Order: sequence, then structure tokens, then C-alpha cells
Amino acid sequence: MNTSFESQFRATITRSVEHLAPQLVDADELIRHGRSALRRRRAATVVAAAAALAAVLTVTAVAVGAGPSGQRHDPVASPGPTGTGQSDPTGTGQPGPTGTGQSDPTPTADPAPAGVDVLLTGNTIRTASGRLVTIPNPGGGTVTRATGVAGGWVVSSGGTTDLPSIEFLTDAGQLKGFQPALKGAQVGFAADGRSMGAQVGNDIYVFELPSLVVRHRVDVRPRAGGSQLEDLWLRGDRLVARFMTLGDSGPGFSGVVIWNLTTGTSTTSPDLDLRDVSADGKLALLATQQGFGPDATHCVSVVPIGDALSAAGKKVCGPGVSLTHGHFSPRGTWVAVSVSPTGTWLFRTTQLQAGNAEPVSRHDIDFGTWQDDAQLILADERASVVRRCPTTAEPCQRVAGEPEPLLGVITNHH
Amino acid sequence: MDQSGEQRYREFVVARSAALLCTAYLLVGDRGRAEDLLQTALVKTYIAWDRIKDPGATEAYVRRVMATTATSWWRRRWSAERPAVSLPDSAVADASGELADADEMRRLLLTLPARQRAVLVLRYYDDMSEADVAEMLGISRSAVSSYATRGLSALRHRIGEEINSL
Repeated sequence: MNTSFESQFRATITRSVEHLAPQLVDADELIRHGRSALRRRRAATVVAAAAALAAVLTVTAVAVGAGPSGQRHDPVASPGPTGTGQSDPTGTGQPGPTGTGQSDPTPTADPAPAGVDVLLTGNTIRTASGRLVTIPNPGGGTVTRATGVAGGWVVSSGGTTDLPSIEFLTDAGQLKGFQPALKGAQVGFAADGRSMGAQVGNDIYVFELPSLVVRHRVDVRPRAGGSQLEDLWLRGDRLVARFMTLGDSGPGFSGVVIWNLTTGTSTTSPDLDLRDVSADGKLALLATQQGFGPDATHCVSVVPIGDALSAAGKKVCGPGVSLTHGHFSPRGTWVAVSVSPTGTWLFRTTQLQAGNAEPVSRHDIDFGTWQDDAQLILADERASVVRRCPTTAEPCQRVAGEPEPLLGVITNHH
Repeated sequence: MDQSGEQRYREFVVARSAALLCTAYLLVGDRGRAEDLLQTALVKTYIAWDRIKDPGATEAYVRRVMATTATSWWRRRWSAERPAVSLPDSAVADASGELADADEMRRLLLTLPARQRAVLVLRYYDDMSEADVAEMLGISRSAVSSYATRGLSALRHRIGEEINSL
């Protein structure tokens, strides 16, 4: 090879880009795209895995003569009091005369009713009592998430490319849209499931459930304009929201804003990473990070919250692990803390308030939801294993999972 | 990604975007497409951020994504194009200096198949070693050497053609 030509080539192409004006790259826009892509990827992974599993199970069921796999069920159907263990693992909703209990391809599955609301593939919800509810023609095609609220469920549906559509499914299986329409909105709920907050543009709308009437509309710009809404809670007459700044490219706010919906006043608590608010609205769970990168230590703390929030409180940190999220039990007695990369530690709320770092129990599976103050539901990412774990020392019990085509455990706010 | 990770990501984007845009520009030859390519690569990098254990490897990761993405774009749009036939090194080396103004060389670079172009850009613009290019593109070192040789030969050939046509 002629090295003079190589040198000439190197110098020439370098010159050819010297005139290129630097691009003003909006890192926050990239982050928004990245977050959205991650959410779509996770949802698609869950849907694809469950769909593939459902297909395998359908074939298996047909092969063993379990009945017609393509059978559709009514919007609301009840498989009877036997519940989960004997319900149709294909999600078609009709045990049929042969009974799936006889041809259940999962001899290892717990035959007892799950007693847990779950989202199945095929846009179907199965309630704790075993009732099957079909979600008819959701706006986004495939439902990937459902939350139990007063009078029904709030369901999120969407493919891998579109922002998810958020709609209301009545107990009777009727789908209703919110006005304004919710597309990719961050939502949060009242503890009793009777209201829901959702961001649309610069406003957070507070919908009454199940009427879907807009009760409040809060302009976030004065307090958190230019920031991204990360999470929100409705507690009494307060709307609590966590925002994250989008960087140095413009004005922004990272922290917590609390609006009093009765008085119209609001307060801000900058730089606080709020992860949950107890159902009575009196306690807040904060996450904190000390240091950066591999040396970072993640901690949680429980502090009082009212119309304002302060960071004062003792922290509990997990040596060698990251304590990243937490969920108060319905009555606030317990906090289930998510441990990164996988696991859940159970603390009494009073322990965290006192800074006692020794959990009551440790589980090697992710948090799913609280069933009540006596038992929590744990599930892995694809809901291939769902366990019910008492807050006492009793062992956990597997209540659902593979080979059932689950998409996830449903959290109920009522 | 946690907040500190996103902050480091922002800092990386701000610090390195201008240089990365130049690489993207050489890979696709058009400012608009270069910006699209860079954005695509940076979003993919965001998604992979937690898996990139060595912060020093981040830029290499972006370049790899750009190179492979540009190649896939090229395959979709120009699948019918054939690489130029190589000619011996002789005769045109001196002539290259007469013709090779920057824009013309960049234009000729775009006539090469995407993989050859990626190798030349990474090897001669980004000053990467054969071994690094090989690892980045997932090909052998000998393949890198072959692509570079054939790419440069094709450029000399095309430069010679243009001179002869004057």
C-alpha cells in the first residue's frame, strides 16, 4: 500500500469535516427517547414472552384434548369458584366440559386459587376470585398493564412503537376513554382508587373514578416547568408529584411538589427523591444516593409529609446492595423495599423511621404488590413465578406463574 | 439508569457529540442523515449505558453503533451497488494530490460500500488500530486490512478516472 496516499487520504478527510458546524445536541431529548425505548422494550419483552408461552400452551392443550384453544369468552365470564389453579391456562376463559383441571399441563402448579388479580395475555384480567374479564379492543392493541381502581381498572395498552393508551375498564368489561385522551401519560392514584392524576401537556388532570369526570386541573409550569413528571400520588386533598430535571439545557426542577387541591397552594421540596406516600398521606418514603458510579450507596428513609416535605430522617442503607424503591403496605405498617438487582426486603415502617437496617425478611424476588398488611405478593419480571408471602415468619406460597401466560400482577387501589 | 448515570450521559453527549458528528458525517455523507445517525447511536447508548462498565469505552461503543447502523442503512438503500474493482497502486498516487480536495475525497468516499467506508473512516479519521476496528466491527484483522486496502485502491482508481476525464 502506498503510504503517501494513506497520509493524503487521512489529511483530506480530516479537512473535509473541519467546516462542519458543531451540532447542538439536546441530551435531554435523547434521554426522553432512551427512557421511552426502554419502557417499550420491557413491555415488548413481557408481551412477547407471554405470547410465546401462550402459543406453546395452546398447542399443548389442543394436543392433549383440553378443548378448543381458539374459543373466545364473554367480556365478563366466571370460571367458577375453583379459581386459578383450574382456570384455563390459555387465557381463553372457558374451562369447558373437559375441565382444564384434568388436562392442566402444570402438575407442579399450586392447585389452590391464586387469590391475586393478574393480567393475562389475550387482553384478559383474572380477578382474585377467578372471574375473567376481557378487555375489548384497547386503543393500543395489547394491554400491558392494569391497575385496580374504584369501579374497574385503568389499563395501559400499546405496541412497541407507540406511546401507550390509557383507558378505563369498568367492572362489567366496558372500555371507556378519558377526556382528554391519555397517551403515554404518567399516572398516579388515590389510595382508595376513587381518583387518578394524569399529566397531559403542562397540566395534571385529576379524574374522579369511576365517573371519569375531571375534578381538578393543575398547571405544573409555575413549579416544575421544563421538568419531567416521574411519579404522582393523590392523598386526601393533596396532589404529590416527583419531578426530575431534564438537565442544563433549560430551566428545570428536581424534587417534590405538593399541591393542596382545596386551597390551590403548593410547596416545593427540591432534590428529594420521593418513592412512595403512605395511604393516609402522613409518611413519605425517600430514596437517597451517596457517591456515584460503582461506589454509590443507595439508601431509603421514612419521613413525615404534609403540605410540605423535609429530608430530615434516619437513613437505612444496604451494604453491598442498592435499596432503590419502596412500597408502603395499605395501612402503612410495613415497607417492602426493592433491592437492586433483584429482591425485596421487608421492614416495619417504625424500623425505617428509627434507622434500623435489619429487615424482618429478605426475598430473592421482586415486589409485585401488597395484598393487605398481612401479605405481600412477589413476582419476577415476567410473572413466571408469583408468590404470596406473609409478613409473619411463615413461608411464602407460590400462587401463580408459569406455565400460565401471565403479564403481571395487578395492584389494587381500593 | 439512575440520576448520576444520566448526568454522566449528559456530560458525555455534550463533550463528544461534535467529534462523533464528524465520524457520522463521513459515514453517511449528509449532514441531516449524520445527525439522524448520531441521535440513533446516542439513544442506543443510553439504553446500553448500565452495561458499559468502562466509562472509557463509551465513545467506542457509540462509534461501533454508528458504523454498524450506517452499514445497515446502506444495505437497505444500496443493496444493488457493487464495490469498485481494485487497480494496482501505481500511476495515480501523484495525481491524487492534484485532485483530492476535501469535498471531492469525501464524495468519492461515499461511493465505496458501507463496510469499506466504515473501515476507512475508523482507521484513518478516528485513528483506530486494525485490531480495534476489527473488534468494533466484529470482523477479523485481516478483513480490516483487506477492506482498507481495497477501499484505498478504489479511491485511487476513481481519482484516476476523474483526472483522466478532465
